[in-house]
Amino acid sequence: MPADEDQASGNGIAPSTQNGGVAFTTTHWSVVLEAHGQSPAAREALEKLCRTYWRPVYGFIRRQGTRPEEAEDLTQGFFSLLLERHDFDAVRKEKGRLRSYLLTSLKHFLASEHRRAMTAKRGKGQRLIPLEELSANERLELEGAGAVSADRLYERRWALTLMEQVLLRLREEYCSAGNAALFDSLKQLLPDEPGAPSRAEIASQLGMTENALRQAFHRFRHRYQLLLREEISHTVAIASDVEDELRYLIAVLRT
Amino acid sequence: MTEFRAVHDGERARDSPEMSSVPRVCRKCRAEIFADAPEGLCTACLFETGLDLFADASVAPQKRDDPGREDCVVAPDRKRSARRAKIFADFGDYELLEVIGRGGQGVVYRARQKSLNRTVALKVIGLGHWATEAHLKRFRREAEAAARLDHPCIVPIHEVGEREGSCYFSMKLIEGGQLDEVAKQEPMPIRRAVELIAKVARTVHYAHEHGILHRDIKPGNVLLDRNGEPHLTDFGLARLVETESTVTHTMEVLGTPSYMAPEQAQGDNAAVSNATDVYGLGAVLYQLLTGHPPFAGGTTYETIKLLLDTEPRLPRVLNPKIDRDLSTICLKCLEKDPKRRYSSALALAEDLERWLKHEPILARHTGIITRGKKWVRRNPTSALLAASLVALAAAAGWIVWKSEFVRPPVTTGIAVLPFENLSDEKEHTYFADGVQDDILTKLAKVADLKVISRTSVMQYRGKRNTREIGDALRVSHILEGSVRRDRARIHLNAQLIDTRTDTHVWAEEYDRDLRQSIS
Repeated sequence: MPADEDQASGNGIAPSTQNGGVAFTTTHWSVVLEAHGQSPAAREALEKLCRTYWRPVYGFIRRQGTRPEEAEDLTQGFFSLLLERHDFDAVRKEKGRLRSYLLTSLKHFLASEHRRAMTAKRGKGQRLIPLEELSANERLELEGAGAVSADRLYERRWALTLMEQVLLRLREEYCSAGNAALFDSLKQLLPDEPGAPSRAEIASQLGMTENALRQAFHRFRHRYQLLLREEISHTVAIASDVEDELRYLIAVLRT
Repeated sequence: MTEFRAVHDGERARDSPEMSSVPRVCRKCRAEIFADAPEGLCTACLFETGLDLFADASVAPQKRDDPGREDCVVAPDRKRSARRAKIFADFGDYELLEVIGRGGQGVVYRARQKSLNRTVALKVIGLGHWATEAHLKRFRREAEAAARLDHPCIVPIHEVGEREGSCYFSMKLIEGGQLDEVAKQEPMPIRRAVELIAKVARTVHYAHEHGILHRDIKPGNVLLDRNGEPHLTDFGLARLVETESTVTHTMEVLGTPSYMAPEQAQGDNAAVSNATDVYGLGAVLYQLLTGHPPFAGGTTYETIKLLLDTEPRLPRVLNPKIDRDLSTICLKCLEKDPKRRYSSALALAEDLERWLKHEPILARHTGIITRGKKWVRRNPTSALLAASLVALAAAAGWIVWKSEFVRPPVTTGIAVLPFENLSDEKEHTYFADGVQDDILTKLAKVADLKVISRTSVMQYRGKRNTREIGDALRVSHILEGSVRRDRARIHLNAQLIDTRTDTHVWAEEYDRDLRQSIS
């Protein structure tokens, strides 16, 4: 199953024209695994993944009772080691999921001697992870006295981060086409939550007919679904695992 | 290495301290919506929307449940999510237009049936992981039987479907509203309410004649069309959650137990009968007449406790306009014992019609003895204690009275010493004192019997030399004893002692379970 039905499949990395970043026609994680992290493309893909999914890692470290400054050092150190070592043998044991692999590696890292060595490197100015992007709410959750375990927090943060990526991309696509208002209205219909504005209300606000709005939402929803599937596919080794991962993330948020 | 950025405390100043960490809960799936959820939407539901793309993909449940997988600990929830999501994704012949109802049982959509180009109501029931195959098959049989019912006041079922452990069925769309919504907007005149329930009762009788029980009659299942005619829906649906599920599961799916018959609330599915539906009809009538369901606690548990342990308040107390006959009809439907209700829905309909025609009704008003029995059933502890004390006082009084006359004593009368508390808890001393008090009161009523006051005997608490006590108080007899209370059991020991000879005249033990009714 291709990662994105809208795009031609391929094995390489293609530059994106949309956000100045890097878009992939195959999954980031599969590129990393195929090359065992050795090729430039694999390295770039892994860096991209690290910069996207550092929040769960940082959250896990903080929830262990680590002070913020030390947690930041450990997060940077962990990802630096990950990029240096190219040790992906453990991936097989983790069913090919980036989510599970990162968590297992992180636990090993925190329990090992590497921790001290890699943490010491932080003074050299190597900052891979943009930790300043932590939101106030994230900090509140990490510092709060809630009963959520570190593992649970990690998975929940993972799910939120993944969804944030998807909606960010969808928003950018709509904004670049001059449809920011349409995005803001249609996004409310996505979860099908009771109490959301009706289609008739939204159509009236946007000056559209109900039929036109229905079609617009159909396209919006379909695009969202494709982006979601693509984003998840970046974190699994086999495309057929996407649905399974999606169901797992739903369960994570509902338990 | 690509661009690295340093972290400075100063950069965090952009985070607003006003941001709240109070959790929000999704109104659709009840999952927590985190304060920093992307776009402020329910992330779980957003993910679920993404599942639609996989609706046609083959799913291998055995693979997901593989215990070797690291994520198997949440397998039941995943399966539940999957079912809910997938069934919404695949509507086959139906195009969903809008949600017109939502409840514990699932979601009702206004939908267009593509093949026949007609608008229908499509009910999708999310069952959760506890529904078994046998369960679903039985429901399907029942639903298909219900679909064969052909009555102008029963919402016709067009099609019953099943998908991955969930069920859905399409019905005729009734453009009107649910009875509870209509009644909420405007209080219903009493005669109109009676006419309505009489009609629904005849409809239920028709279904009973065809061997179908409704099992979940409540205002939400009575739809009113534009002409105000009632239409009963969801026949046999409650069957889906019975038998292999617990009462708790039943509540989860059926929602409020306010209209549920006691036999259903107890999970006694074997006892469910035509009379169960008669109870439901009575409960709906009670709601329409009084504006309240017969039983409503703050929680499901409280409601069930009220339902099982108490009688409904008299309808006339809540609405003085209700006459005695109508109140009698209503309460007859709500009898705890199914045998004491109307023998059939038809009998109820006919009695209601008699009331409408100002004819004498067949139901009889509950007498004082029946009400007394009900009081005993509702208050077994008080009744048990009262009966024990009466028996104790009567026995003691009779013996003393007899001894006084047969062999006149030098000094006469009785002293009841403080009962000893043998329970582990000290606070049960008050209970023991209460027993002594009650016996004193009973004995004081016996004519010509001298009874020493409580104040005078209290100084002898713990003392056991009855001859000395008898001399001091100048009484011929002393009643002493002990009380032991162990959770739900009470053990009462009493001895009557002749102080002149220091011998036992009489002794008795009472050992009862407080939970048992003595009726």
